[in-house]
Amino acid sequence: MHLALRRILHWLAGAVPASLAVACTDTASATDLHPEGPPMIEQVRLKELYSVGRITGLERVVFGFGTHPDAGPEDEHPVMTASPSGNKLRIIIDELLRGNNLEEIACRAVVDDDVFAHVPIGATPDDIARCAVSHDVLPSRCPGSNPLSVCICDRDNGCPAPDNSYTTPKGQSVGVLDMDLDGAADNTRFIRGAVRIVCGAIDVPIDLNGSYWTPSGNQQKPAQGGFDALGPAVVLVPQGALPTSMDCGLAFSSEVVDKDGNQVCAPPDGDITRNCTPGDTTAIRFTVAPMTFAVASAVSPTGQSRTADVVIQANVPLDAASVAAVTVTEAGASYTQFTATVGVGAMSNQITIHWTAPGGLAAATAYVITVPITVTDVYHQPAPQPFSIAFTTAT
Amino acid sequence: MSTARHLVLAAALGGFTLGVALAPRAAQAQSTTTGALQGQVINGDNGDSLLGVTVVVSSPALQVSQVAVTDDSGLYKITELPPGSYVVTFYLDKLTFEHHDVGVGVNKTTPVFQRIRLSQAAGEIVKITDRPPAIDPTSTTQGTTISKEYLKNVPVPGLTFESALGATAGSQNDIAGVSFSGSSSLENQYFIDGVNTTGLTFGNAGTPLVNDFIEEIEVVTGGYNAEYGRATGGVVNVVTKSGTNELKGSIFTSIQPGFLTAPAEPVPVNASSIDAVANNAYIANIGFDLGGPIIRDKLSFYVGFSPLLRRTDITRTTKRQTDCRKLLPTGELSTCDPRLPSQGGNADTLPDVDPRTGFYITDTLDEEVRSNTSQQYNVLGKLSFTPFPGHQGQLALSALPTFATNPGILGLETSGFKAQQLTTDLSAKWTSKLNDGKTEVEAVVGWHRDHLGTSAMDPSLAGQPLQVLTDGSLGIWAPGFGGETARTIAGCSDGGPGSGDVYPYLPNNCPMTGRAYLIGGPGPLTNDTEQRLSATLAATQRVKLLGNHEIKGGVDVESDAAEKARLYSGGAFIQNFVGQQDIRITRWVQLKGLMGSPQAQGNADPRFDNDCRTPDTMHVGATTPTLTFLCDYLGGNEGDPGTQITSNTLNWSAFVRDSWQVLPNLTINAGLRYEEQRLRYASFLQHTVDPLTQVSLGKNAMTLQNMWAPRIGVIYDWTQEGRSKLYAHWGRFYESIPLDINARSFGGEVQFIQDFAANGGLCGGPDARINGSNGVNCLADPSARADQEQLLGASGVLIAPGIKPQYLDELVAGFEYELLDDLKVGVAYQRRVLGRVIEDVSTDGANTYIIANPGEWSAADENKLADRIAMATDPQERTRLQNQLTLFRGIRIFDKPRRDYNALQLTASWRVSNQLSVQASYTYARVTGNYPGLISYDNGQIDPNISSQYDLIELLANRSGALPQDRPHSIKLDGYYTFDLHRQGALTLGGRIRAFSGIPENALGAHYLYGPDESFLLPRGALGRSDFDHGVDLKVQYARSLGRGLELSVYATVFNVYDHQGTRTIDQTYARAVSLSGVIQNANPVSGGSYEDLIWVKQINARGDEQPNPIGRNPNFGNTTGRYTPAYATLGARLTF
Repeated sequence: MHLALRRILHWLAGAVPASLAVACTDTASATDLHPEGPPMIEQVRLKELYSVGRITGLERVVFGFGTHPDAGPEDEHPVMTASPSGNKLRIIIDELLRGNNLEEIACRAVVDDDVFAHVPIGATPDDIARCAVSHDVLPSRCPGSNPLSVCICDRDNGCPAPDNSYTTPKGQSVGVLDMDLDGAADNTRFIRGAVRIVCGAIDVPIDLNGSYWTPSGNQQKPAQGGFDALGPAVVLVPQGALPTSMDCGLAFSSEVVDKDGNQVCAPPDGDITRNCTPGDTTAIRFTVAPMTFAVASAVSPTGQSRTADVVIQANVPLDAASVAAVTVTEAGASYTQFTATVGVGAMSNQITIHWTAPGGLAAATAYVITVPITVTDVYHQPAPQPFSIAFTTAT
Repeated sequence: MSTARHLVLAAALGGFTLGVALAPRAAQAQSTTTGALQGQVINGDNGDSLLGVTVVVSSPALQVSQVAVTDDSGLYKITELPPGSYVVTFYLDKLTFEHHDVGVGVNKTTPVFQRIRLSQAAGEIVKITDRPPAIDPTSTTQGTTISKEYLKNVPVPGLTFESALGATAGSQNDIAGVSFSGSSSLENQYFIDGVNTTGLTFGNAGTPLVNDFIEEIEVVTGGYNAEYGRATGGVVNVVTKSGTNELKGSIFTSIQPGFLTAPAEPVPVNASSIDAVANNAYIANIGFDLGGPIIRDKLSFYVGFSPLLRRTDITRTTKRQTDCRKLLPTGELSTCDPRLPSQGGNADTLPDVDPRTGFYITDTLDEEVRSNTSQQYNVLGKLSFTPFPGHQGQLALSALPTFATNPGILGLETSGFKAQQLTTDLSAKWTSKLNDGKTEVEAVVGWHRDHLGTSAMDPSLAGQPLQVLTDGSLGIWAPGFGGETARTIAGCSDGGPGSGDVYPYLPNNCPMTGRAYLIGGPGPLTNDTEQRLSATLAATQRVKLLGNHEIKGGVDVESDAAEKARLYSGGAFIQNFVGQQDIRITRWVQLKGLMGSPQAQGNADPRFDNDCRTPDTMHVGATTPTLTFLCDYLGGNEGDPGTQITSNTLNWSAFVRDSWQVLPNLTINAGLRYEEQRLRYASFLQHTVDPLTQVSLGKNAMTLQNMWAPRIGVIYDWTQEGRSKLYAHWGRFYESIPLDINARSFGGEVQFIQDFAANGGLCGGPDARINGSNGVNCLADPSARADQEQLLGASGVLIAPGIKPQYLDELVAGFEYELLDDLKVGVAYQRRVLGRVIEDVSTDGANTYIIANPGEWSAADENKLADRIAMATDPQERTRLQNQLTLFRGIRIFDKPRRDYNALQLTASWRVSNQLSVQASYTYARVTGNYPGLISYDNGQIDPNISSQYDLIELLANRSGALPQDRPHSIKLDGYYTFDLHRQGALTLGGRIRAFSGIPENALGAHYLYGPDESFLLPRGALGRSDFDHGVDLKVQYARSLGRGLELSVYATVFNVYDHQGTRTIDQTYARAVSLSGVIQNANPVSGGSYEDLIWVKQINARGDEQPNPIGRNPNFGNTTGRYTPAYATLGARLTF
């Protein structure tokens, strides 16, 4: 009966006038994206430095490219002083991209040179769930022969489990990392090179764990997050800092495409009603703020300690080798009994001047520490002008 | 097209009927409880109209026969006829013609046409036994009539009238009733004996009257005229039986025993350790009805009594996960060995999964049955009186006391509740025919009242709060609270090797991650009373002017009131997120005013002795200050001050309509209806000052005026014999807003939510029974400050200036044709488009809610407000208005709600006397849009006009698509046939076939503020739909006369004959609000996305901030969560006299 019924229904459905089947309705929503044409970058939000009166070094997130109807003048303008450190670029696209070419999922074991693996185009959450089951069930639920299976071992000698208790042969799934057993990947990672920040000849390293693709969102500001929840978006977090004083842009891999295979482009001013050539994102430019220095330790202009280190802090990590160019003068003459070193890790933006002479500096003497423009950031970008500190030691 | 007719002496006499024939009179002169007969008498020799023919109608349904005389056009009409079978007799000189078994239905006009040859032999009575066709050539209404024969002979899956409504073409069940023509069921109106019995709070069927007392049900699903209003769904008219001049009655019984009910297929929930399956134990009724004369031809009575008893057994199955199997090279699972691999076993510390289904493999530990019971007593009494010819009256009273017990299922049995309900309807109706029947007056007054109260299962827990434990282990909770069997406690026990734990390497044998576990008192308490006083006055006048007019006008008024409890047992509701070590306390509170405000400082009411704190989210700055209100924690006992909220609405309407018969076969129905609704603030708020906005509140919160509802229809009979009609109708229909909005939005509803970290501190140390803090401890100090606190609803509710009522426009067009004798076929197209909706929206991120028309706010209203701002001299007032202007402008951002219903309906009905009746329909219908109606099907919310659907702009994404009502194909076939076994009695076979397309499936996520299932992660319906659903029901009935007017009938009915337990609901929650690893993981929609995009969706934390981590997946996503009723049988008997 079931089959016969379906046949009848098929016939009846075919008899329905087309005008009825495709009722005249307006389905446009303020939350719609624009899947037609190439995927266009509608906005780029990033952090800039700005000043209010004599207060400098303030930070805010603005539309450095494109704008939004709710944005005020202070919210949108070309960014000439992008924060070199701690910045995060939110690149808002006008349609959905294929996440498969932007992110990888975490697997239970190394699959090639790390534990992250691409997800084949067409794979759905059901395929992830299939491949997130117990090891013993994987061969039947997630066979390597299924082109939509994920976390397939791609090492000739197989992929050993983290505890080496077994080895998954090449071509079979090692399983999706799913510690909470919910059938979804516990983690994803941005694909290196999918989207790059290019500043001149510098390809800025990207924090692959902090960067991500979020398909959620549209051009309506949600209740929480405001402009920073517009989407869909690629969120790029530089590894470390941006090169100071550089003009920068974005470069998308040719593999980053929408669901029709179109490459990303950036229309002038983010105006998606205008055309742009797929792959061309040159319309997006921003300039990183210059390198600046400030004294980060207690320095008394007239009674400075003779032995205390002087710490000078830059707004970006520094090229350690270049710090050797720091000079000190003693009463106008060159002084060499000191070391200038750069910290490591979070302290890599600090120059510590350590006095090596026994007893430290001379008493009641004028010193000048100069950080010349040959002291650069990690990208070898100099500060626009030298930085100097003058003090007189205590008696 | 002439067809064979069953005429007696017809050939000899030359007279014949044309059945339905022409529609010589204007239509519609019937009330919602009666029908009419009309026709034309023509001289068969020359075709002229015959003046002065006497037409007499009689029926057991009538106290006194009704008479009419044909006019100079040969026309007659007899109205106010109760539904039933009639004899229509035409008298002219010595000629007599009788039509037997002429059916009259509620709100229908049955035309009976007579052609008389004056030359024929006189003195004989011509008995004409054919039946007029069922085509009502005067009406454009869509729908169906369900007669008592249908209720008796066709398997109806229930004992009350709502269960029969599914016979209507294009109807379908939803979570609150039966929906018609693409609308939600809460958009219907229900009338019993002409009195509105629609539920007041939500708009559901208010009085579930038992079928045994029903004469006829008329279901109108479209094309209705100006008499009807306040409905954007369907109109259901139920007419109860009445007493006649004959003493008649019946004793009846039926039972649906559990042993004749197939076991329900289980609906397991993955990652939970309790499954619950409900099976019917019995549904039984027994009763009687009796009707007859008190004063013959003047006064009759009808009484009925029918207790209805139910018990549903819910089998709780406890289960534990296993860790003892591995997959063998053959692809099969190994046998179970819970030892470690190093010991030769298969334990790997992870639960085993069935490779075929992906479900966890579980051991059944134990089964326990808990039972829901209810006793309902249907009582009906009715007096019908005809003091003078042409004047009729009726008084009816029904009472429906119900007592129910509902033990807790997913938790302790004592966490359930008991309920007591009393539904009462009282109606009085009067009709008078004046001026030789050319004028009719009808008056109806009614009172509908419903009271529902709940109480604790265990009286000693009445004052205890309900505590919901989530994300923990039954292995802890079962022994801790003693609510499980010894086998369950033993089976869930976790321990290492040698401890007795069967799976010692599995850390949690019995996780409760998919379901909650309830302990404590009954939780939300109910002490609700709602009532409607209604009155209707209508008059009809027939006049001749360029044809025949029947002009009807009327007014009606309704005063709706409700009193609702606002109370949790123990004064609070506790959600204990054990896995996350977080406890949420929710209290109902009443605010007096901000600390320091005149209201707070001037407060003399000792009730207000608490502080309620909430973040001032409107504050602009780096930090968010806290607002503190003087407030009262609502608690104590039912009826204590502040715990009962009284609200009301006044509705009135007026209508006029003209049914104009331009030509004998062309009728135009035109009407205009005007409605108003005045929704009032809760009584305690009226004429007070809003504690937050300082706005003075008046009496009416929202007044909806200018609800002009034009209706226009045209009917053409191309056969000119009443065997066809080609018709079209257009009308506008306004929604009647139920009282829920009064109690909530206009009732000062405020909740104080406190989140406590449950790792000690204010909520105490771990309770061994819970493996975390006990939420009851958080209540010890009412003044305690929690880690996070928030008032929901404290910002008040604004009403958009110029708000307009919700309506839909409808176009109906089609034809009906009598293809063969008694066989009617029809084709109809129906289009319904929502024009405007009333919903609450927030344009400032859930700080302030505005009752508005989403997507529209007029420039004129904006200008008016701008003028007020310009004229405001008080800076504070100016700021307040300026803020409102900004909020109101935001209304325009929202998408306009849409619900488009387009249906093509093919119908056929075949009825031969009472022996055979078949009605069939096929409906192809699409329901698309972004707004399903007054029910938010996707999250189960029933809050008409204040659902969460339009609250925030981000909730709108992906809402467009196939709505939950979109089930394109719908096939219905109902019928019965009676075999006359002569002296051996009669055997009736009845049947019902249903087939529907499946339900659209969605992927839902949680919203950081609104909670589970509020985010449409993908476009509505993107994941296809559930399986096609179908079923067959059969009924066999044998009746035999016992002599002396006694007849005994016995019957057996089998529903869902082949036990197809199709999917009714599926788990659409793709991402739970809290992942299985305990991480808050809200998610925003992927606009226009597809299933594969969900792999990349990112978490949004509790503060609404996006995280780089992907969301988790609900292990139960896509699984069936509810199935249609399994096969079952009922047995019954009826003795009539």
